[in-house]
Amino acid sequence: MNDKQNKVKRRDFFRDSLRTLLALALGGSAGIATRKLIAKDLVWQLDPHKCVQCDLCATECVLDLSAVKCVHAHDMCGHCTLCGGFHRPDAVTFDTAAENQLCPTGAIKRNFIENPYYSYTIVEEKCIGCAKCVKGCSSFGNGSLYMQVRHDRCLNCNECAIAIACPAEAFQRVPSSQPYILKGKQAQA
Amino acid sequence: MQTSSNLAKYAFIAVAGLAFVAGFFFKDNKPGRENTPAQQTPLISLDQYLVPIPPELIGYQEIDQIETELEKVSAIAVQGANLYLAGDREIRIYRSAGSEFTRIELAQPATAMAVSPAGQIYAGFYNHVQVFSPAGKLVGTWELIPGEAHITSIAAGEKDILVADAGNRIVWRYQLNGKIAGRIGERNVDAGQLGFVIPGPFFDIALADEDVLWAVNPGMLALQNYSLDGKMRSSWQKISVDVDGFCGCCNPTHLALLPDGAFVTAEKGIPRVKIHEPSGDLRTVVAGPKQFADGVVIADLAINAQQHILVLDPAAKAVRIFAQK
Ligand code: SF4
Ligand code: SF4
Ligand code: SF4
Repeated sequence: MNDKQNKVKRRDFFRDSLRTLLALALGGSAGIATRKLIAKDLVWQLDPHKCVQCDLCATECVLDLSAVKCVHAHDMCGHCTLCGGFHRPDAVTFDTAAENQLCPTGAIKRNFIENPYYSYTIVEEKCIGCAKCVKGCSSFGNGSLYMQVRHDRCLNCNECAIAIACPAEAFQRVPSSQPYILKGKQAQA
Repeated sequence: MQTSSNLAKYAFIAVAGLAFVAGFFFKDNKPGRENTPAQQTPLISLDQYLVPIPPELIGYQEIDQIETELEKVSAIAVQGANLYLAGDREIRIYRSAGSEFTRIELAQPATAMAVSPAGQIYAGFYNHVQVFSPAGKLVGTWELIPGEAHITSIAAGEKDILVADAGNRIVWRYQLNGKIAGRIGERNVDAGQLGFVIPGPFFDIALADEDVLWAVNPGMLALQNYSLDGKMRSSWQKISVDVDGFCGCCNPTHLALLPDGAFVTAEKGIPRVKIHEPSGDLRTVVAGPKQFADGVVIADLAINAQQHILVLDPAAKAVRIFAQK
Protein backbone atom coordinates (compact mmCIF):
# COMPACT_ATOMS: atom_id res chain seq x y z
CA MET A 1 0.00 0.00 0.00
CA ASN A 2 1.50 3.37 -0.91
CA ASP A 3 1.44 6.70 0.85
CA LYS A 4 -1.50 8.03 -1.13
CA GLN A 5 -3.63 4.98 -0.58
CA ASN A 6 -2.94 4.87 3.12
CA LYS A 7 -3.22 8.58 3.73
CA VAL A 8 -6.50 9.55 5.38
CA LYS A 9 -7.89 12.85 4.28
CA ARG A 10 -8.80 15.04 7.22
CA ARG A 11 -12.45 15.10 6.16
CA ASP A 12 -12.58 11.30 5.86
CA PHE A 13 -10.89 10.97 9.18
CA PHE A 14 -13.39 13.10 11.03
CA ARG A 15 -16.25 11.34 9.23
CA ASP A 16 -14.81 8.05 10.49
CA SER A 17 -14.62 9.47 14.00
CA LEU A 18 -18.27 10.42 13.80
CA ARG A 19 -19.08 6.94 12.56
CA THR A 20 -17.29 5.50 15.61
CA LEU A 21 -19.34 7.75 17.84
CA LEU A 22 -22.57 6.64 16.20
CA ALA A 23 -21.46 3.03 16.39
CA LEU A 24 -20.92 3.41 20.10
CA ALA A 25 -24.40 4.79 20.55
CA LEU A 26 -26.10 2.29 18.25
CA GLY A 27 -24.11 -0.65 19.57
CA GLY A 28 -25.29 0.33 22.98
CA SER A 29 -28.97 0.59 22.23
CA ALA A 30 -29.10 -2.39 19.86
CA GLY A 31 -27.29 -4.56 22.38
CA ILE A 32 -29.55 -3.50 25.13
CA ALA A 33 -32.69 -3.89 23.06
CA THR A 34 -31.90 -7.51 22.23
CA ARG A 35 -31.22 -8.63 25.76
CA LYS A 36 -33.45 -9.08 28.73
CA LEU A 37 -32.05 -6.70 31.22
CA ILE A 38 -31.75 -8.03 34.70
CA ALA A 39 -31.98 -4.67 36.31
CA LYS A 40 -34.49 -3.25 33.87
CA ASP A 41 -33.21 0.23 33.26
CA LEU A 42 -29.61 -0.10 34.43
CA VAL A 43 -26.49 -1.47 32.77
CA TRP A 44 -22.90 -1.88 33.88
CA GLN A 45 -20.35 0.71 32.89
CA LEU A 46 -16.91 1.67 34.09
CA ASP A 47 -15.85 5.20 34.87
CA PRO A 48 -12.74 5.86 32.78
CA HIS A 49 -11.65 8.56 35.21
CA LYS A 50 -11.40 5.96 37.99
CA CYS A 51 -9.87 3.10 35.97
CA VAL A 52 -6.22 2.37 36.81
CA GLN A 53 -5.65 0.14 33.75
CA CYS A 54 -4.91 -3.00 35.73
CA ASP A 55 -5.77 -5.53 32.93
CA LEU A 56 -8.45 -7.42 34.95
CA CYS A 57 -11.04 -6.29 32.42
CA ALA A 58 -9.35 -8.70 30.00
CA THR A 59 -9.39 -11.67 32.33
CA GLU A 60 -12.38 -11.35 34.68
CA CYS A 61 -15.29 -10.95 32.25
CA VAL A 62 -17.49 -14.06 32.04
CA LEU A 63 -17.21 -13.91 28.25
CA ASP A 64 -14.25 -15.60 26.58
CA LEU A 65 -13.49 -12.36 24.81
CA SER A 66 -14.14 -9.55 27.27
CA ALA A 67 -17.07 -7.19 26.73
CA VAL A 68 -14.78 -4.36 27.79
CA LYS A 69 -12.93 -2.70 24.93
CA CYS A 70 -10.71 0.24 24.37
CA VAL A 71 -12.44 3.23 22.75
CA HIS A 72 -10.86 6.37 21.42
CA ALA A 73 -11.86 10.00 21.90
CA HIS A 74 -10.51 11.10 18.54
CA ASP A 75 -11.14 14.77 19.24
CA MET A 76 -8.83 14.61 22.28
CA CYS A 77 -6.09 12.69 20.51
CA GLY A 78 -2.85 14.47 19.63
CA HIS A 79 -2.51 12.28 16.49
CA CYS A 80 1.14 11.91 17.40
CA THR A 81 3.80 10.16 15.36
CA LEU A 82 5.13 8.83 18.63
CA CYS A 83 1.98 7.50 20.27
CA GLY A 84 2.25 6.44 23.89
CA GLY A 85 -0.77 4.18 23.42
CA PHE A 86 0.35 2.59 20.17
CA HIS A 87 4.12 2.29 20.59
CA ARG A 88 5.98 0.43 23.27
CA PRO A 89 8.03 2.91 25.29
CA ASP A 90 11.17 1.10 24.14
CA ALA A 91 10.14 1.01 20.47
CA VAL A 92 13.20 1.20 18.26
CA THR A 93 11.42 2.93 15.39
CA PHE A 94 8.03 4.59 15.44
CA ASP A 95 6.42 2.56 12.71
CA THR A 96 3.79 -0.18 12.65
CA ALA A 97 6.18 -3.11 13.03
CA ALA A 98 4.72 -5.64 15.47
CA GLU A 99 7.68 -5.49 17.82
CA ASN A 100 7.15 -1.74 18.28
CA GLN A 101 3.46 -2.01 19.14
CA LEU A 102 2.14 -2.02 22.67
CA CYS A 103 -1.08 -3.81 21.80
CA PRO A 104 -0.61 -7.58 22.12
CA THR A 105 -3.17 -8.31 19.40
CA GLY A 106 -2.48 -5.55 16.88
CA ALA A 107 -5.94 -4.11 17.52
CA ILE A 108 -4.96 -0.50 16.88
CA LYS A 109 -4.93 0.63 13.27
CA ARG A 110 -2.62 3.50 12.46
CA ASN A 111 -3.10 5.71 9.41
CA PHE A 112 -1.10 8.63 8.12
CA ILE A 113 -3.02 11.95 8.05
CA GLU A 114 -0.34 14.50 7.22
CA ASN A 115 3.22 15.00 8.41
CA PRO A 116 3.69 14.46 11.35
CA TYR A 117 0.14 13.37 12.28
CA TYR A 118 -1.49 9.91 12.39
CA SER A 119 -4.91 8.59 13.31
CA TYR A 120 -5.35 5.63 15.65
CA THR A 121 -8.49 3.50 15.43
CA ILE A 122 -9.46 0.52 17.57
CA VAL A 123 -10.40 -2.67 15.71
CA GLU A 124 -12.87 -3.93 18.32
CA GLU A 125 -12.94 -7.52 17.12
CA LYS A 126 -9.26 -7.82 17.98
CA CYS A 127 -9.35 -5.92 21.28
CA ILE A 128 -9.13 -8.17 24.36
CA GLY A 129 -9.59 -5.30 26.83
CA CYS A 130 -6.14 -5.56 28.38
CA ALA A 131 -5.85 -1.74 28.82
CA LYS A 132 -2.15 -1.67 27.91
CA CYS A 133 -2.74 1.04 25.32
CA VAL A 134 -4.88 2.99 27.77
CA LYS A 135 -2.13 2.87 30.35
CA GLY A 136 0.42 3.98 27.74
CA CYS A 137 -1.82 6.82 26.58
CA SER A 138 -2.67 7.93 30.12
CA SER A 139 0.94 7.83 31.30
CA PHE A 140 2.74 9.21 28.28
CA GLY A 141 -0.02 10.86 26.27
CA ASN A 142 -3.22 12.72 27.06
CA GLY A 143 -5.68 9.97 28.01
CA SER A 144 -7.72 9.91 24.80
CA LEU A 145 -7.75 6.09 24.80
CA TYR A 146 -10.00 4.66 27.50
CA MET A 147 -11.95 1.55 28.44
CA GLN A 148 -15.72 1.03 28.12
CA VAL A 149 -18.10 -1.89 28.54
CA ARG A 150 -19.51 -2.43 25.04
CA HIS A 151 -23.20 -3.11 25.29
CA ASP A 152 -23.48 -5.00 22.02
CA ARG A 153 -21.45 -7.71 23.80
CA CYS A 154 -22.07 -7.32 27.52
CA LEU A 155 -24.52 -9.82 29.07
CA ASN A 156 -25.37 -7.34 31.81
CA CYS A 157 -24.80 -9.99 34.45
CA ASN A 158 -26.58 -9.57 37.72
CA GLU A 159 -23.18 -9.23 39.40
CA CYS A 160 -20.54 -8.10 36.91
CA ALA A 161 -17.49 -10.30 37.52
CA ILE A 162 -15.14 -7.45 36.64
CA ALA A 163 -16.93 -5.06 38.98
CA ILE A 164 -16.23 -7.46 41.84
CA ALA A 165 -12.53 -7.69 40.93
CA CYS A 166 -11.89 -4.10 39.85
CA PRO A 167 -9.27 -2.59 42.22
CA ALA A 168 -10.38 0.94 41.37
CA GLU A 169 -14.09 0.35 42.03
CA ALA A 170 -14.60 1.87 38.62
CA PHE A 171 -17.74 -0.13 37.76
CA GLN A 172 -21.19 1.20 38.42
CA ARG A 173 -24.69 0.77 37.08
CA VAL A 174 -25.82 3.52 34.74
CA PRO A 175 -29.15 4.21 33.05
CA SER A 176 -29.57 2.15 29.88
CA SER A 177 -30.56 5.36 28.07
CA GLN A 178 -27.02 6.66 28.70
CA PRO A 179 -24.95 3.49 28.73
CA TYR A 180 -21.52 5.07 28.19
CA ILE A 181 -19.29 7.32 30.28
CA LEU A 182 -17.46 9.11 27.51
CA LYS A 183 -14.46 11.37 27.24
CA GLY A 184 -13.73 14.32 24.99
CA LYS A 185 -16.43 16.23 23.11
CA GLN A 186 -18.63 13.10 23.21
CA ALA A 187 -18.81 13.55 26.98
CA GLN A 188 -20.21 17.05 26.60
CA ALA A 189 -22.74 16.07 23.93
CA MET B 1 16.68 -12.77 -26.73
CA GLN B 2 19.83 -11.69 -25.07
CA THR B 3 18.68 -8.07 -25.20
CA SER B 4 15.35 -8.84 -23.57
CA SER B 5 16.99 -10.91 -20.84
CA ASN B 6 19.41 -8.06 -20.18
CA LEU B 7 16.50 -5.64 -20.03
CA ALA B 8 14.77 -7.87 -17.49
CA LYS B 9 17.98 -8.04 -15.48
CA TYR B 10 18.42 -4.23 -15.50
CA ALA B 11 14.76 -3.74 -14.67
CA PHE B 12 15.14 -6.08 -11.69
CA ILE B 13 18.29 -4.28 -10.51
CA ALA B 14 16.56 -0.90 -10.91
CA VAL B 15 13.49 -2.03 -8.95
CA ALA B 16 15.63 -3.60 -6.24
CA GLY B 17 17.73 -0.44 -6.06
CA LEU B 18 14.64 1.75 -5.77
CA ALA B 19 13.22 -0.51 -3.10
CA PHE B 20 16.48 -0.25 -1.17
CA VAL B 21 16.56 3.55 -1.45
CA ALA B 22 12.88 3.80 -0.49
CA GLY B 23 13.47 1.50 2.45
CA PHE B 24 16.34 3.67 3.60
CA PHE B 25 14.29 6.84 3.21
CA PHE B 26 11.39 5.58 5.26
CA LYS B 27 13.54 3.83 7.82
CA ASP B 28 12.26 5.84 10.78
CA ASN B 29 8.73 6.55 9.72
CA LYS B 30 6.78 4.44 7.35
CA PRO B 31 3.58 6.35 6.80
CA GLY B 32 2.83 4.26 3.73
CA ARG B 33 3.37 0.88 5.31
CA GLU B 34 0.39 -1.29 5.82
CA ASN B 35 -0.44 -2.12 9.39
CA THR B 36 1.46 -5.23 10.27
CA PRO B 37 -0.71 -7.61 12.27
CA ALA B 38 1.21 -7.75 15.51
CA GLN B 39 2.07 -11.23 16.60
CA GLN B 40 0.71 -12.23 19.97
CA THR B 41 3.38 -10.47 21.97
CA PRO B 42 3.45 -11.16 25.71
CA LEU B 43 1.61 -8.62 27.80
CA ILE B 44 4.02 -6.10 29.20
CA SER B 45 3.60 -3.96 32.25
CA LEU B 46 4.53 -0.33 31.81
CA ASP B 47 5.77 -0.42 35.40
CA GLN B 48 8.82 -2.21 34.09
CA TYR B 49 10.04 1.15 32.79
CA LEU B 50 9.85 2.74 36.23
CA VAL B 51 13.12 1.12 37.21
CA PRO B 52 15.26 2.91 39.78
CA ILE B 53 18.00 5.04 38.27
CA PRO B 54 21.52 3.86 39.22
CA PRO B 55 22.64 6.03 42.17
CA GLU B 56 25.84 7.06 40.38
CA LEU B 57 23.72 8.83 37.75
CA ILE B 58 21.90 10.95 40.34
CA GLY B 59 23.93 14.10 40.91
CA TYR B 60 21.48 15.95 43.13
CA GLN B 61 19.81 15.47 46.49
CA GLU B 62 16.74 16.99 48.04
CA ILE B 63 17.68 19.58 50.67
CA ASP B 64 14.41 21.25 51.51
CA GLN B 65 10.69 21.54 50.79
CA ILE B 66 8.34 24.48 50.90
CA GLU B 67 4.94 23.07 51.70
CA THR B 68 2.11 25.08 50.19
CA GLU B 69 -1.05 23.40 51.46
CA LEU B 70 -2.68 24.55 48.22
CA GLU B 71 -5.15 22.26 46.43
CA LYS B 72 -3.67 22.75 42.98
CA VAL B 73 -0.28 24.24 42.23
CA SER B 74 0.47 25.39 38.69
CA ALA B 75 3.68 27.43 38.28
CA ILE B 76 6.83 28.70 39.97
CA ALA B 77 9.32 31.41 39.05
CA VAL B 78 12.43 32.91 40.63
CA GLN B 79 13.56 36.51 40.30
CA GLY B 80 16.46 37.71 42.46
CA ALA B 81 15.95 36.36 45.95
CA ASN B 82 12.20 35.98 45.52
CA LEU B 83 10.28 32.80 44.78
CA TYR B 84 6.87 33.19 43.12
CA LEU B 85 4.31 30.44 43.27
CA ALA B 86 0.93 30.22 41.52
CA GLY B 87 -1.73 27.85 42.81
CA ASP B 88 -5.47 27.82 43.48
CA ARG B 89 -6.62 31.43 43.15
CA GLU B 90 -3.46 33.13 44.30
CA ILE B 91 0.13 34.00 43.58
CA ARG B 92 2.49 33.88 46.54
CA ILE B 93 5.71 35.83 46.81
CA TYR B 94 8.24 34.27 49.17
CA ARG B 95 10.71 37.08 49.77
CA SER B 96 13.22 34.93 51.62
CA ALA B 97 13.73 31.25 52.29
CA GLY B 98 11.07 29.90 54.62
CA SER B 99 7.33 29.88 54.81
CA GLU B 100 6.54 33.61 55.05
CA PHE B 101 4.89 35.02 51.95
CA THR B 102 2.72 37.80 50.62
CA ARG B 103 -0.32 36.90 48.57
CA ILE B 104 -1.85 38.27 45.38
CA GLU B 105 -5.45 37.14 45.06
CA LEU B 106 -6.68 36.07 41.63
CA ALA B 107 -10.19 35.86 40.21
CA GLN B 108 -9.38 32.42 38.79
CA PRO B 109 -6.46 29.98 38.97
CA ALA B 110 -3.48 30.93 36.79
CA THR B 111 -2.41 28.41 34.16
CA ALA B 112 1.08 29.93 33.84
CA MET B 113 3.24 32.61 35.43
CA ALA B 114 6.55 34.41 34.91
CA VAL B 115 8.38 37.35 36.44
CA SER B 116 10.41 39.83 34.37
CA PRO B 117 13.88 41.08 35.35
CA ALA B 118 12.12 44.30 36.43
CA GLY B 119 9.92 42.33 38.83
CA GLN B 120 6.61 42.62 36.90
CA ILE B 121 4.51 39.50 37.39
CA TYR B 122 2.75 37.99 34.35
CA ALA B 123 -0.03 35.49 35.01
CA GLY B 124 -1.69 33.49 32.22
CA PHE B 125 -5.36 32.39 32.35
CA TYR B 126 -6.09 30.12 29.39
CA ASN B 127 -6.69 32.92 26.85
CA HIS B 128 -5.31 36.09 28.39
CA VAL B 129 -2.53 37.55 30.50
CA GLN B 130 -2.73 39.79 33.53
CA VAL B 131 0.15 41.94 34.71
CA PHE B 132 0.90 42.74 38.34
CA SER B 133 3.39 45.28 39.68
CA PRO B 134 6.29 44.03 41.83
CA ALA B 135 4.16 44.98 44.84
CA GLY B 136 1.31 42.78 43.59
CA LYS B 137 -1.08 45.42 42.21
CA LEU B 138 -3.01 44.53 39.05
CA VAL B 139 -1.73 46.94 36.38
CA GLY B 140 -3.03 45.44 33.16
CA THR B 141 -5.19 42.84 31.44
CA TRP B 142 -3.97 42.06 27.97
CA GLU B 143 -5.62 41.50 24.63
CA LEU B 144 -7.42 38.14 24.40
CA ILE B 145 -5.80 35.38 22.39
CA PRO B 146 -8.16 34.16 19.65
CA GLY B 147 -9.27 30.56 19.12
CA GLU B 148 -9.12 27.76 21.69
CA ALA B 149 -6.20 29.22 23.58
CA HIS B 150 -4.58 27.42 26.49
CA ILE B 151 -1.66 29.34 27.95
CA THR B 152 0.77 26.87 29.51
CA SER B 153 3.94 28.90 29.95
CA ILE B 154 5.23 32.48 29.93
CA ALA B 155 8.79 33.71 29.50
CA ALA B 156 9.35 37.32 30.49
CA GLY B 157 12.29 39.34 29.14
CA GLU B 158 13.14 43.03 29.39
CA LYS B 159 11.49 43.93 26.07
CA ASP B 160 9.32 40.94 25.13
CA ILE B 161 6.88 38.67 26.88
CA LEU B 162 6.54 35.26 25.22
CA VAL B 163 3.38 33.27 25.83
CA ALA B 164 3.15 29.55 24.98
CA ASP B 165 -0.35 28.57 23.87
CA ALA B 166 -0.95 24.81 23.72
CA GLY B 167 -4.43 25.29 22.25
CA ASN B 168 -3.28 27.22 19.18
CA ARG B 169 0.11 25.45 19.15
CA ILE B 170 2.00 28.71 18.92
CA VAL B 171 4.15 31.07 20.98
CA TRP B 172 2.76 34.59 21.02
CA ARG B 173 5.22 37.47 21.19
CA TYR B 174 3.82 40.37 23.18
CA GLN B 175 5.24 43.84 23.60
CA LEU B 176 5.37 45.24 27.12
CA ASN B 177 2.26 47.31 26.34
CA GLY B 178 0.26 44.10 25.84
CA LYS B 179 0.02 44.23 22.06
CA ILE B 180 0.71 41.05 20.11
CA ALA B 181 3.80 41.65 17.97
CA GLY B 182 4.38 38.24 16.43
CA ARG B 183 3.94 34.48 16.35
CA ILE B 184 6.73 31.99 16.85
CA GLY B 185 6.85 28.39 15.66
CA GLU B 186 4.04 28.47 13.12
CA ARG B 187 3.54 25.44 10.91
CA ASN B 188 5.02 26.16 7.51
CA VAL B 189 5.61 22.89 5.70
CA ASP B 190 7.12 24.62 2.64
CA ALA B 191 9.78 26.15 4.88
CA GLY B 192 10.38 22.80 6.58
CA GLN B 193 8.72 23.83 9.86
CA LEU B 194 6.17 21.24 10.95
CA GLY B 195 5.05 23.38 13.87
CA PHE B 196 4.53 22.42 17.48
CA VAL B 197 3.02 18.98 18.05
CA ILE B 198 1.14 19.33 21.33
CA PRO B 199 -1.06 16.43 22.39
CA GLY B 200 -1.89 17.79 25.86
CA PRO B 201 -1.55 20.87 28.06
CA PHE B 202 2.24 20.60 28.24
CA PHE B 203 4.11 23.21 26.26
CA ASP B 204 6.94 25.00 28.04
CA ILE B 205 9.26 27.78 26.95
CA ALA B 206 12.28 29.60 28.39
CA LEU B 207 14.28 32.63 27.30
CA ALA B 208 18.01 31.96 26.94
CA ASP B 209 18.74 35.65 26.55
CA GLU B 210 16.78 38.61 25.27
CA ASP B 211 16.61 37.32 21.69
CA VAL B 212 16.69 33.53 21.94
CA LEU B 213 13.78 31.36 22.92
CA TRP B 214 13.87 27.66 23.73
CA ALA B 215 10.60 25.80 23.35
CA VAL B 216 9.73 22.19 24.00
CA ASN B 217 8.09 20.49 21.04
CA PRO B 218 6.59 17.73 23.19
CA GLY B 219 5.07 15.61 20.43
CA MET B 220 8.45 15.46 18.73
CA LEU B 221 10.33 14.82 22.01
CA ALA B 222 12.47 17.77 20.96
CA LEU B 223 13.76 21.10 22.21
CA GLN B 224 13.77 23.86 19.63
CA ASN B 225 15.55 27.15 19.51
CA TYR B 226 13.87 30.19 17.88
CA SER B 227 14.83 33.76 17.24
CA LEU B 228 12.06 36.13 18.27
CA ASP B 229 11.18 36.86 14.65
CA GLY B 230 9.84 33.30 14.54
CA LYS B 231 12.62 31.46 12.74
CA MET B 232 13.85 28.14 14.07
CA ARG B 233 17.61 28.25 14.60
CA SER B 234 18.40 24.78 15.91
CA SER B 235 16.89 21.84 17.74
CA TRP B 236 17.76 18.59 19.40
CA GLN B 237 15.75 15.46 19.98
CA LYS B 238 16.48 12.45 22.22
CA ILE B 239 14.03 9.59 21.78
CA SER B 240 14.69 6.83 24.25
CA VAL B 241 13.02 5.08 27.15
CA ASP B 242 16.45 5.08 28.78
CA VAL B 243 17.44 7.77 31.19
CA ASP B 244 19.38 9.77 28.59
CA GLY B 245 16.30 10.49 26.43
CA PHE B 246 12.59 11.26 26.40
CA CYS B 247 9.78 8.85 25.62
CA GLY B 248 6.01 8.86 25.13
CA CYS B 249 4.25 11.60 23.22
CA CYS B 250 4.34 14.66 25.50
CA ASN B 251 7.86 15.01 26.81
CA PRO B 252 9.61 16.83 28.28
CA THR B 253 6.74 18.57 30.00
CA HIS B 254 8.84 21.34 31.53
CA LEU B 255 12.05 23.14 30.88
CA ALA B 256 14.41 25.52 32.70
CA LEU B 257 17.79 26.83 31.60
CA LEU B 258 20.97 26.86 33.66
CA PRO B 259 23.34 29.80 33.21
CA ASP B 260 25.84 27.61 31.33
CA GLY B 261 23.23 26.74 28.69
CA ALA B 262 22.34 23.31 30.08
CA PHE B 263 18.67 22.25 30.13
CA VAL B 264 16.77 21.13 33.20
CA THR B 265 13.86 18.96 32.06
CA ALA B 266 10.87 17.31 33.73
CA GLU B 267 9.01 14.34 32.24
CA LYS B 268 5.70 12.58 32.69
CA GLY B 269 4.96 8.88 32.32
CA ILE B 270 8.32 8.13 33.84
CA PRO B 271 8.39 11.08 36.25
CA ARG B 272 11.94 12.35 36.48
CA VAL B 273 13.99 15.54 36.42
CA LYS B 274 17.30 15.61 34.56
CA ILE B 275 19.94 17.98 33.30
CA HIS B 276 21.00 17.78 29.66
CA GLU B 277 24.12 19.39 28.23
CA PRO B 278 23.64 22.16 25.64
CA SER B 279 24.29 19.41 23.06
CA GLY B 280 21.40 17.35 24.46
CA ASP B 281 23.59 14.68 26.07
CA LEU B 282 22.61 13.70 29.59
CA ARG B 283 24.66 15.49 32.25
CA THR B 284 23.02 14.14 35.39
CA VAL B 285 19.75 13.17 37.03
CA VAL B 286 18.20 15.50 39.60
CA ALA B 287 15.42 13.13 40.75
CA GLY B 288 14.21 9.77 39.49
CA PRO B 289 10.76 8.14 39.39
CA LYS B 290 11.17 6.54 42.80
CA GLN B 291 11.31 10.03 44.32
CA PHE B 292 7.81 10.90 43.08
CA ALA B 293 4.33 9.60 43.82
CA ASP B 294 2.86 7.17 41.28
CA GLY B 295 1.58 8.87 38.17
CA VAL B 296 2.53 12.36 39.27
CA VAL B 297 2.96 15.02 36.59
CA ILE B 298 5.43 17.64 37.78
CA ALA B 299 3.79 21.08 37.61
CA ASP B 300 6.82 23.31 36.94
CA LEU B 301 10.57 23.82 37.32
CA ALA B 302 12.73 26.78 38.28
CA ILE B 303 16.35 27.51 39.20
CA ASN B 304 17.29 29.82 42.06
CA ALA B 305 20.30 32.06 42.56
CA GLN B 306 22.24 29.22 44.21
CA GLN B 307 21.51 27.09 41.14
CA HIS B 308 19.33 24.78 43.16
CA ILE B 309 16.68 23.02 41.09
CA LEU B 310 13.16 23.82 42.28
CA VAL B 311 10.54 21.23 41.41
CA LEU B 312 6.84 22.00 41.88
CA ASP B 313 5.38 18.68 42.94
CA PRO B 314 1.55 18.62 42.83
CA ALA B 315 1.30 15.38 44.79
CA ALA B 316 3.42 16.72 47.68
CA LYS B 317 1.78 20.16 47.14
CA ALA B 318 5.26 21.51 47.74
CA VAL B 319 8.24 23.16 46.10
CA ARG B 320 10.97 20.56 46.43
CA ILE B 321 14.50 21.94 46.40
CA PHE B 322 17.39 19.89 45.03
CA ALA B 323 21.10 20.77 45.36
CA GLN B 324 24.13 19.24 43.74
CA LYS B 325 25.62 16.45 45.84
S1 SF4 C 1 -10.71 -3.83 36.26
FE1 SF4 C 1 -11.11 -1.68 36.81
S2 SF4 C 1 -9.09 -0.70 36.97
FE2 SF4 C 1 -8.79 -2.68 35.89
S3 SF4 C 1 -8.87 -2.13 33.71
FE3 SF4 C 1 -10.97 -2.74 34.30
S4 SF4 C 1 -11.98 -0.80 34.94
FE4 SF4 C 1 -9.78 -0.39 34.84
S1 SF4 D 1 -3.76 -2.80 23.98
FE1 SF4 D 1 -5.37 -4.12 24.91
S2 SF4 D 1 -7.06 -2.66 25.32
FE2 SF4 D 1 -5.67 -1.63 23.87
S3 SF4 D 1 -6.54 -2.10 21.83
FE3 SF4 D 1 -4.97 -3.66 22.28
S4 SF4 D 1 -6.11 -5.36 23.20
FE4 SF4 D 1 -7.47 -3.55 23.29
S1 SF4 E 1 -21.57 -7.63 33.13
FE1 SF4 E 1 -20.84 -9.69 32.61
S2 SF4 E 1 -20.49 -9.63 30.39
FE2 SF4 E 1 -20.66 -7.49 31.07
S3 SF4 E 1 -18.55 -6.82 31.43
FE3 SF4 E 1 -19.34 -7.60 33.39
S4 SF4 E 1 -18.75 -9.77 33.46
FE4 SF4 E 1 -18.52 -9.07 31.32
